[in-house]
Amino acid sequence: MSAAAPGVHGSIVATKLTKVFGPVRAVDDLSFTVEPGTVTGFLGPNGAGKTTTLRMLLGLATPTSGTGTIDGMPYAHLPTPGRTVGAVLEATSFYPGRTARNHLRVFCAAAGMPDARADQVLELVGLTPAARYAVRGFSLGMRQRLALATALIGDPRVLVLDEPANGLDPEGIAWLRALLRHFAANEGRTVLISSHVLSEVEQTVDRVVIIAKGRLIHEGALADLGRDGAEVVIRTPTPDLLGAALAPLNARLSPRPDGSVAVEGATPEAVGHAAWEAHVELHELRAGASTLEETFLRLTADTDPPPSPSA
Amino acid sequence: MTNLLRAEWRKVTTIKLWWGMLLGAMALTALGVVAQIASNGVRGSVALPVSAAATQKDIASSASSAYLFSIVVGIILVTTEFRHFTSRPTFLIEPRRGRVIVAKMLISAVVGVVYGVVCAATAVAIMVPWLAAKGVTILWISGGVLESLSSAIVVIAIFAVVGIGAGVLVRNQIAAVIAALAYLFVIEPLIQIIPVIKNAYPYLPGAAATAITGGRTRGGVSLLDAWQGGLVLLGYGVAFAVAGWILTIRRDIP
Repeated sequence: MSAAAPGVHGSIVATKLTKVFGPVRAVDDLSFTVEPGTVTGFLGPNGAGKTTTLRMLLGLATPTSGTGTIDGMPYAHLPTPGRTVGAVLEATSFYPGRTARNHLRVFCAAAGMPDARADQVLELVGLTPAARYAVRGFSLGMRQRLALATALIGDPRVLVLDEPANGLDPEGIAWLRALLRHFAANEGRTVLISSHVLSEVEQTVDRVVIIAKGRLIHEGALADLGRDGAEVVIRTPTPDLLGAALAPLNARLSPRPDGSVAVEGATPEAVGHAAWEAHVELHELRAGASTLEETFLRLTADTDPPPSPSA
Repeated sequence: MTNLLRAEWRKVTTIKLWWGMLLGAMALTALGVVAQIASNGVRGSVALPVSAAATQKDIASSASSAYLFSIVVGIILVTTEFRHFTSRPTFLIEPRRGRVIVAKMLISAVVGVVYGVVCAATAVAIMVPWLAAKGVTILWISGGVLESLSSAIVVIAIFAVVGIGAGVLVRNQIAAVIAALAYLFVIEPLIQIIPVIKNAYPYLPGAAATAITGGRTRGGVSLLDAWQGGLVLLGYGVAFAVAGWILTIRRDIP
């Protein structure tokens, strides 16, 4: 067995990943890296190609071209995949008549883990009271927890979760956040979670990989994403006068759908002062108006093609 | 492979299907035994008396009808993975998909042997006291009754393996079950009466199964020897699985 190259231990690397379904390029020349010790959010609107990408990284789907590696090798080449990677792809992978405990025991056996591990992961996800019930009667939130428990059976260094917050109540989301933060920050594991809602994972992730239409839009620290957006939103009956008043600031102005104006590249103080000096009437002036969510929506919306009549 | 076998065995024993289908197989066996003994000697019956070896063999062979249940169990063991998406954790833990299919075939064969033994025991449990009451001696060895029972077990076990192959090839559960039963009950009997392909008939699954249980002819066509029938039937199971692996399993997992 050859030792993994340094720096690849626990990392997930997508290199020019492409998946074509008939005429559709579901994933298009996508490259990104996920490092151990971080929680990385894999974000994009529904249909952006997130699940297809994860399925290729996990060896369930074959890329049309490009490669995905974990620990420096394709998933299928991992010596003990069940103990290296834990993954959840939608929380529906259960036989309805099987109990939670038996479900886990099946996969404990497959992964070569002792049966006691089933009870440990049930405890970890808070499902011990439901252990002996058939999955048929489980709520979506309970199924999410059981799916996560399944992923944790092999005590994996790498966790890949597709939309893990779906169906979880706020308390469940807070619990999941703490668990994933602990895995990454305290235990140095690699955590990749997908979501179509940034705000859902905003407090969990350190880094983001944003895709739309199968292509990479942004990759980097979450903190970088915020700086990218507008800093001030104003509302005025005379936008032209305002534009002239703000010209010396070199700020970029753009109208927003609700009739207000977004200003990038200036502080609220500077904008307010310039408006006051030029006697421009303001009905609203607020700072930090561009939330991460707005930035995210703007980034991903830019790539939308115009609606096609044939669609 | 040991881990996979343990996992696959657990998949079978942790769901109720396994018991339900076994009860069905036992009921079908019992029905066959009871019908044959009860109708024997009735006016118009063409069977030899129950004291005859041929009749006793036929009664014992009732157990082999449980193959209907074992092929369905085999199909369900595979297709349920795709229906309920347990294929995902299964193939995440073992990405070498061919090994999973081989493990399923081995476990399905074990399940088939269990079904076969239970159904053979069911047949024995009914025929022994009933024939004793009639004052008839059972010709276990000399009449080939034991051979009929053991070949029934073999047929049931091999059909369980064929079910895995069929399920791998046709991943839709309902479609696979209907296709298998329609073939065995409708299509193969039709092929039997088409003159041109009569020569190929002994090599078809149903005819091969009949050969295993000691049938020499069916519809005027000579069948294979029992061991040849066994190999041919097993060959179908393996061929289906290989075809399914090429056509579906090695591609993207849903």
